[in-house]
Parts: sequence; C-alpha cells; structure tokens
Amino acid sequence: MMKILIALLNMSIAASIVAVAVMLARIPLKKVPKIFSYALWAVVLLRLICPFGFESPTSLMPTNAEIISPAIVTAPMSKINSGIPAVDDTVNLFFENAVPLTSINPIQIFLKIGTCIWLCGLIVLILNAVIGYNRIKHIVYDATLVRDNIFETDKISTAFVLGFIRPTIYIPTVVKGKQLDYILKHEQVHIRRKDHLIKPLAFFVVAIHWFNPIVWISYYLMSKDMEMSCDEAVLRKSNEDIRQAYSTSLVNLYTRNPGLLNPLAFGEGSVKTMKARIKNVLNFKKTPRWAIVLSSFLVVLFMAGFTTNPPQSLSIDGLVNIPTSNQQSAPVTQTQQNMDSRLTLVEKEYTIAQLEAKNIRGIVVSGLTDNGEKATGVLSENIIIKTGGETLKLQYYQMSDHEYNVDDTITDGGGTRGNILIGRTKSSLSNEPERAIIITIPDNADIITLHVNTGSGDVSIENMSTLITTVKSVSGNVVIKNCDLPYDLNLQTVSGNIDVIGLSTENTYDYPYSFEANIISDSGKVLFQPKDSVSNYHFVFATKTSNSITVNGKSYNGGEFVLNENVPKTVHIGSGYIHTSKNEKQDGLGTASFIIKDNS
Amino acid sequence: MNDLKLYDAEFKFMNIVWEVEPVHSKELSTICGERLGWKRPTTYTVIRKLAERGFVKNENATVTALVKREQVQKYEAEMLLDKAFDGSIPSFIATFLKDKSLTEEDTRALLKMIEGAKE
Repeated sequence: MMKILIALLNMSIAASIVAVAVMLARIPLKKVPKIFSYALWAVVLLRLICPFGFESPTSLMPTNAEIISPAIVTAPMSKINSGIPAVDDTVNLFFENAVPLTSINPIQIFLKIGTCIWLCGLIVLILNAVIGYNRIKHIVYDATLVRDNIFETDKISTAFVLGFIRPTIYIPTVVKGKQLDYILKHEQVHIRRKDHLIKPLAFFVVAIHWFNPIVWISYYLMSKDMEMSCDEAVLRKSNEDIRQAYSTSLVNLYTRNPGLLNPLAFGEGSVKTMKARIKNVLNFKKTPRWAIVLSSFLVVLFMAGFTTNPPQSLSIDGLVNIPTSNQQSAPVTQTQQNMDSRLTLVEKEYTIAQLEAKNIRGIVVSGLTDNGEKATGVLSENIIIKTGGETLKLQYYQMSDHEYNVDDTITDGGGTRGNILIGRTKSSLSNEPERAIIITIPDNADIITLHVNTGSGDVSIENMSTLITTVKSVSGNVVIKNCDLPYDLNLQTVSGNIDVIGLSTENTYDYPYSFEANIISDSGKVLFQPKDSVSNYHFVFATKTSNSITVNGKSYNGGEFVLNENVPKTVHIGSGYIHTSKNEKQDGLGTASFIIKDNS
Repeated sequence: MNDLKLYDAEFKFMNIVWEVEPVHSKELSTICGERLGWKRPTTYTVIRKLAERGFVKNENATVTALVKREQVQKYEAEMLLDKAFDGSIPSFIATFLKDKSLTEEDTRALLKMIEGAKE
C-alpha cells in the first residue's frame, strides 16, 4: 500500500512538472484554436495514470521519473534524487538531521498515516461524485423525448450530457428555436469527441491525486479548454457569422443555474469560465493554415518530449549516489569517506522479487575470497567495491592479497545497462557487449563463492571455477560458459534466458549426492549443454510456463524435453513432457519430478 | 385538492391519460414509450406519484384521471396571473395584446367572456 502511495507521489510530481509546462505552452497557443491547448492535457493525464515512462534522450523532462524511491521506507538514511542538486541537498540535509530515535524509519509512519488520509479523501470524492450523478439522474428521470437522444424537462435550467454508453442530451423546456439549435450542436460535439467519457475519467484521476493542487488547477483549465474548443467547433461548422447569437444563448442557458456542477454530468462551468468562453466566442476567427500547421508541430513535439523520461543515470535503489565523472579524479581519501556511508546501504542481499519491486537496474555483487573475507559491491556506471574494512573504487580493488583488475568500467558516457561479464582474463571473454562491466579475475585468485544479482542486466560468467555460484536476474539473460561445475549452482531468472554451455566436471569436488543445481526461469528459455557428463549430479530445472528447454543442442518447445546424453538425474518441469533416452514418454505436468534412468 | 402544479413531463403524461382513459397501465406505458421516450418503469413511477397526489386512479391496472384538464389549466393560469401580473387580469391581457392584433371573431368572443364574468 505504501509502495502505491510512493509511486503515486512520483507520478504526481512528474505530472505537475508537465502540467506547469502545459500552462506555459498555453500562453503562445492563446490565439490558435483551443483544441491544441486541450490536446496538451493528454500528456498530463498520461503522466498521472501511467506509472512507467519510456526513456528517450530527446526527453524534455528535467529529471527522471523516480524522485522518491520506494526504498525510502527501508533505507537507514532517507534521500531523494530529483536531479536538481540544490533541491536534493536541502531535502536530504533535512532527512539526515532527523535522527531516528527508534528502529522504525519515521518516513514509514508518515507514509502509513498519509496512505490512510489519501484513501479517505479518494473515497469521499468518488462517493460525492456518484451520489451527485445519481441525484441528477433522479431529477431528470421523467424527461420527455424530443428526438434521437435528446430529452427535455422543465426541472433543469442548463443543458448537459448524461450517461456513458448511450449519452443523452438533456435540455430545459424553455429553450427554443435558434438557441436550442446552437446548444444541441455544442452538446453533440461533446458526444462526438467522447468528452462525456474523458471528463469523468479526468475527474477520477483528479480524485486519485486530490492532494495535489496543480492537478485541480489542471482539471479546471482542461475543462475550460474542452468547452472552448467545443464552442469553436460549433462556430467553425456554421456558414454564417453566429458569434453574437451563439454567445447570447450561452449566457441565457449556462449561467442561470450553477447548482448542477457535477463532474459526471457536464455542460456548465463557473461564471468566470463563462466570461472567458464568451470572450473566446466573440473573438473567434478562422485560423490561417500556417498557424494550424505550426501549432500542430509544436504540440506533437511537446507531447513527444513530455511523455518520455531522460535516460536513467544508473543508481541502485535511487539511493546510492554514484559519483559523477569529475569526482572520479578526486583524492582517494575523500571518496573513501563518501563511499563508506553509501556502501552500508547495499550490504544487504535482495531476492529477485525485491529487485523487481525496487526496479533495481544496477548490480549487487558479493563474494567470498579464499580466506573467507566477504566482499560486497555495487556495480553500475562506476564501480564501488567494498572488501572487509578496506574500500577502493574504480580501476582497482583488492580482495585479501590479490589485486583484481576492474577494467573498462566506463566505455562511454551513456553508461551501462548493468551488463556484467566475469571471467579469468579479458581476452577469454567472448560476445562482449558494447557497454558492459567487465571483471577479469587473474588465474592466481580463487573465488569461493560468487553471487551476482541484477535487475535487467545480462550476466556472463566465463572460464570460472568456483565452489558456489548464484546468479539471480529479473529480466537479464544469464550465460555460464566453459566454467567448472560448482559444488552449488543456482541460476534463477524471471524472464531472462539461461544458457549453460560447456560445463566441465574436471575440477569439481566429488560430492555426487549432496550436490544440487537449480536452474529456474519463470518464463525464459533454458539451454543446457554440458561438456562433460553430469549424470551423477542432481539437477533441478524449472519453468513456470511451458517454455522450451534445450539440452545438448536440441531445443524442445511446448514443454517437451529430451534428455539423452550427459543427462541430469532429476528434472522438475513446470509443465510439459519429458523423453528419456529409452523413449519413455512421461507426463510432466505440474511440478512433478522425473528420475531419468542411466543412459547405458 | 389545492396543489395542481404539474411539471412539464407530468402535464404531457396527463394529456395522454385524458386522451385515452380509461386505459390499462401496460398499454399506457407503451404509449408513453412511443410519445415520451419513457421506459416502462418510468411510466409506472409517474403513475404511482400522480396517484399519490390524487391526479389519477390506478385500480386493477386501469388508469383513469381524477382531475379534469380544465382544472389544471385554470390552476396554471391563476398561478401565472398571481406570479407575473399580481393577479391583475387587464395587465395580463395587455401583455398578450402588445404584439398581436385580434380578428373580429376573437374580439367578439373575448368581449362575451368578459360580459359573462361581470358581477
């Protein structure tokens, strides 16, 4: 629930930025048809309801979407990351000074109370709207048919549209003649433009963001633009100059009773809006073609610019502030200090679900050296690695006595998407992605355990010999190539593919019965091509869907798996069939396990 | 019955009742559906409401009017006279005569009416 609120706050802030931009853009658009101003609000609406954005370098947004991180709840030290240094410094200073007295993060309490208040406000607004809608519906229940979808009644004094699927126009009985004609045209434009659906949708969104005054102002302005562009449509369609007559009927009809103001039935606004509308009607001129073309161009540009986010500078949790490039040359002592406080944030290990929830795109690496020293690090655009008490960064880091080369960490300004390659020497790494973090580990260093967690980054581990290898990835692909079979192998992805190629048992400890390898992908494909026979070991393959698992170069879709050579002993498959070398076909639906008989 | 105020829709409905009464309520709702665009429940609700106020009677699913058209017209006219003309008939007639000319026949009929109403 708190996560929803944080996501909501982020959407609200992003939308507010866009809304202010729309308000500014409306100034030069004053002289052109209001339909352009009206169209701009679509971006605000999208921002208010769409929790994720598309990244584009041409984005006009000043900051990335996630200003408040969901991890603010669990982080020992709260920080925000708005992209504007002055704002961040001020706000974060406040957070730092607020020393928590208890173990509970004070933000958490704020959020809990905030969520309750937000829900109450939402419910009150929605209830109010629904009750109001029903009240109006009850008032006009006996309105009588004029023609088509037009009904008249003397219980109302303002025309409006009611209903969602079959919108009905209600008009007061007193309106006759030309006036009636204009009013009907106006309401019919509303219906044709689906305004009777857009307005309640917009109101619903406003109700969700009720705590944000900018959203209310936007709603007010959007309604105004909607009405004005509707007026203009009526005027444009008319052959003669009806400005005078049309504005007279507006005054006569819509200003009489402001009592029916309801977001789910519309047609009227405040007196102030009415004045602006009449001014707009009287000033109406057919717009020259060049102005239309220019405005269309600007509007499209604006929309494209504000529906996308700028590319994310890689940061884990949005909490770890990765030093920028000019900080890299700063004296080591200073950076050490900075890093110590940051690294406390990442010493924790995340599950895949947590990674997914936190939208982590960097990589958390932790490992044990051969003399038992624990090393953890954040791999992202710049690398920060912490080992024991010592901290070093970038080009070199130390684990016990060995010096490891962390090479080519920054290939270009674009940063990495969190791809990571781990191998013995750089030259041994193949298929090197253009932007990747490459860790080369010299021959004289033994890695006992290797844990790699990524969000969307690909992980490639080559020519390695470890005792325990654990790779968890959400959407990244995992490649284990030409490695020794570790004593404990755990590969787990949500949607990423897993390739295990050229697994060798040459240096593997001989523990055939306590060994278990888990290769699990919820929806990715699994390719399994060991070099040596691994039939003495227990392998667990699992998919939640019936995706293909490829064994020894043959790919089997639809959940059919053939294991004939170097086969593992136990195979768990989410769904599908399995063939053994003896052509025994076994139903593999569910999570049943299969004991594959020896090949011989 | 003092309050003969009818809303526009109710008056249209009563017009139908006066025209076709006595009428089966089902048939009435069909007619209302055609002429007023009402759904069946709307007609029944209006019948119920007007029956409560004593305008119609709904017995054995047969609807009959309890109030005559002239009664309602008189009530409406009196209301209008009171509200807009302070109950003054001359100023009422004067307003209507402002932009219109009367035919010989109209004039005679009006005068006859006024003569008859004299005390």
